[in-house]
Amino acid sequence: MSIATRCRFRFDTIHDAGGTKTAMKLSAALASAAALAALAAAFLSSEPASALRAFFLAPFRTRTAFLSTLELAAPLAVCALGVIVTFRAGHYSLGGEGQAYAGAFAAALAAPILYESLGPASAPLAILVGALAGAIVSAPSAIGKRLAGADVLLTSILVSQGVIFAVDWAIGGPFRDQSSNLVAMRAIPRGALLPRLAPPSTLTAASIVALAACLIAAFYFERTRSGTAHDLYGRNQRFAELQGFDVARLSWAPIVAAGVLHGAAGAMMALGARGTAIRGMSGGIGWSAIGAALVAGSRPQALPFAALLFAWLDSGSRQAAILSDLPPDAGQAIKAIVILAVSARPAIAALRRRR
Amino acid sequence: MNIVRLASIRKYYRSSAAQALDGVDFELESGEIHAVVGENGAGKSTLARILCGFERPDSGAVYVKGAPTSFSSHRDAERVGIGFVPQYSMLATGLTAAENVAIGHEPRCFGPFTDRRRASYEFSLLADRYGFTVDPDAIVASLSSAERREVEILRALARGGSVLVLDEPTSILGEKEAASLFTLVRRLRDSGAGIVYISHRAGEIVNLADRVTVLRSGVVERSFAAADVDECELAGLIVSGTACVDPNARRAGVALGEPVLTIRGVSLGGRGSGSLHRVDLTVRSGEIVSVVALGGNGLESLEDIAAGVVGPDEGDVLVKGRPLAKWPRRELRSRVMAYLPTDRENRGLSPKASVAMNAVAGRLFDYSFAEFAAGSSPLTDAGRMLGEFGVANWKGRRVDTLSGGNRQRVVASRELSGDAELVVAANPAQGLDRGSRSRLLSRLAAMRDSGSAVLLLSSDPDDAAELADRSFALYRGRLTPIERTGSFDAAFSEALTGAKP
Repeated sequence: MSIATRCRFRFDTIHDAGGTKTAMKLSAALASAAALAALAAAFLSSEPASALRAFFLAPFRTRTAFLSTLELAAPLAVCALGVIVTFRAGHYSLGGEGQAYAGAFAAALAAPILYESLGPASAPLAILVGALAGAIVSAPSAIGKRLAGADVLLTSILVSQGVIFAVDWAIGGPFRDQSSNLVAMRAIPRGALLPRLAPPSTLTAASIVALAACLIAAFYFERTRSGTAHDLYGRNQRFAELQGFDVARLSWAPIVAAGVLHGAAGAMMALGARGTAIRGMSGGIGWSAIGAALVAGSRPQALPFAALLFAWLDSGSRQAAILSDLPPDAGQAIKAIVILAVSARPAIAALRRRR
Repeated sequence: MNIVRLASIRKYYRSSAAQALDGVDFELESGEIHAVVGENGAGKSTLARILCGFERPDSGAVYVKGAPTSFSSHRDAERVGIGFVPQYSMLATGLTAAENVAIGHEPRCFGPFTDRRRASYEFSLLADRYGFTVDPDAIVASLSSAERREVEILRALARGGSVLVLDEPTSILGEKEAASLFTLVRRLRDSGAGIVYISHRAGEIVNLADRVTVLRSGVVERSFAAADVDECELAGLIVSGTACVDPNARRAGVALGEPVLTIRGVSLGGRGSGSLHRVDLTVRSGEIVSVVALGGNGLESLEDIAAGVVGPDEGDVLVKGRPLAKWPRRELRSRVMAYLPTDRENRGLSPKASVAMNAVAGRLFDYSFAEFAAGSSPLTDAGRMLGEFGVANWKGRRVDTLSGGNRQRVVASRELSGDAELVVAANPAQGLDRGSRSRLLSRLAAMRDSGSAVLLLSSDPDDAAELADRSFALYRGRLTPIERTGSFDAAFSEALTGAKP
């Protein structure tokens, strides 16, 4: 194959040239996050120099710290991928958190049982169980949308909240490991967890799975007929229907696919660094995933970078809270402002067009 | 006296890398109808948007009544009396007609509350003053395209007054509504208002305008009195090198084939005067059948039925002898039926997707997995299809960055590029300049000559007169055949207005 032919394969696309915008969005998110972190350290801490060092350098200072930050990013990237799958179908599902929590719970429940019969091969199956749990939680929204045209935004958040309460109760009640001070389920046997790739860091095979999932999703949206139909449906459902696309399937399948991804992300958390399901462990992952999806411009190929940015904010703020007196919630606040800054870009662009 | 003057206006769009306006000078006098004409993408709509405060020029100046003015928003333009009627509806469809006109200037009662009765009353006064009949309390979603256009005009009149900018105002109006609009525009001109009238239609400009400015590629090519040109000359100026279409240049000797579309005893209720009553229509292979109607007489319902968007309450719709509802949608659209809808923004295009995606959407599943993944085949096909209709500079662009006429060309490129056995074309020439219109009509004629069955649904009798082998008028949901004896125009007028239903 000549170089020219290979280049054609790489660059010929019927999609719009939005890649540059995504790169700009990512750069803007990184710059605003760094600036906000510096401001937070300067104004909220009595030891700004220590806070700055902890925020910016601690997550990357050692190989172990960096790889552990990567591990934090993996389930977030998979969760954000679920958000992209629904957003690009024009469905605005906000139920990611409940689906991920259910996935974590189901995986923590199934992993010891599967380990007894299958040994180390049980981890992938436990992730599948988590994915199935996520799909089940997403099913009412999908069914409601398919059969009654119900608003996915409302149904997904209502079901998700209910599931969060139920899983909280289950972890703190009948499934609680009474021998632990932590409100958590029984620890998953070490052999049933995802294999650690670079001990002593917490990095597991989840990061490879997450990266592969992002690449496969990018190929699906950019290079397959079904992905293009999915995208066109999300941008104009009536148009997609009149072009003869299978709109009945597109009205529910992306919602369930997102449930699968969210559930798998929850399972990765339980089978990864946490080693079990802990009450409240999914806290904020739904919103962070939406933020990462927005920062990535709903492009799966940009998700690893966006997820890494958010993982750095989490890890950096945690380190800064430990090593200085920066409030532990500073990272969450910065994330919220970064999301706002990125979301405001279309409005800023419209103003610039006027000028 | 100059009521508005634009001096050396320049506007460059970075998103589409296009110099929309390049040093344009424009003057409007009070008591004048000044037409702005040009090909699709010539810069007409950009000029209108700058004049109305929707966009700011990169350089140049806007003078209102001799004073330099800068608009930071459309509201600023409204404050100095400039009203705008956009090419595409910008109404809130969930609100009533009166609420749409009052929006942003709502009459208040008890402090913050909107006085809806007063808004409705003020709407009625305004509508009565200008001879419009739209119901103030009707929800906009339930109104026909023509009625929505009336609401748009009333909204502009309610806020503007001394200057009215009309962007392609007749593109979705029937003959009767267009005639009412012309009367209104003349009345406004006679009362001293200045009217900027943007249109492709040489005939209506010659009859209506006092002065004409021709734009080409963002530059003023010529400005002259409308009385100095006839329709054909003006058409040639709008699109250089375009000759007038000879209505008598019709094909001969093409044999009629089997019925491709059969509409048998179809009724569709619940749409007021737009309902259908026992409509019978057959379109055979090798013929163009046109159905012409004024707004609100059932043309939209017939389009929905023929395209399979809704099923009839009673009666049958058959495509090649098989009930339309029984056709797998993908097979129908990719191999049998081409459909150019009136509502191109919602039905004909996915405006936020790329031009290329829109162009190949209808044949997406004709590509193999590997062909589509490699990308070059769909891209080559898109280039060929778009090239046939003169859409240039489309790579990597989204549809919503194109001008209105170019969007219609994208729809035509996709739908008319194959060998569809049945073409349902609803107002296919809307928004097209004369050259594109004649290219599109020629393509429909060529498809007919190669054996396609074409159903042409139009609010413009000229389309039918130029192209159709058989014509029908649709009046209050009932079809009347138009005989090609005597005056074709007179026969249409009688049937369309119910004078001889």
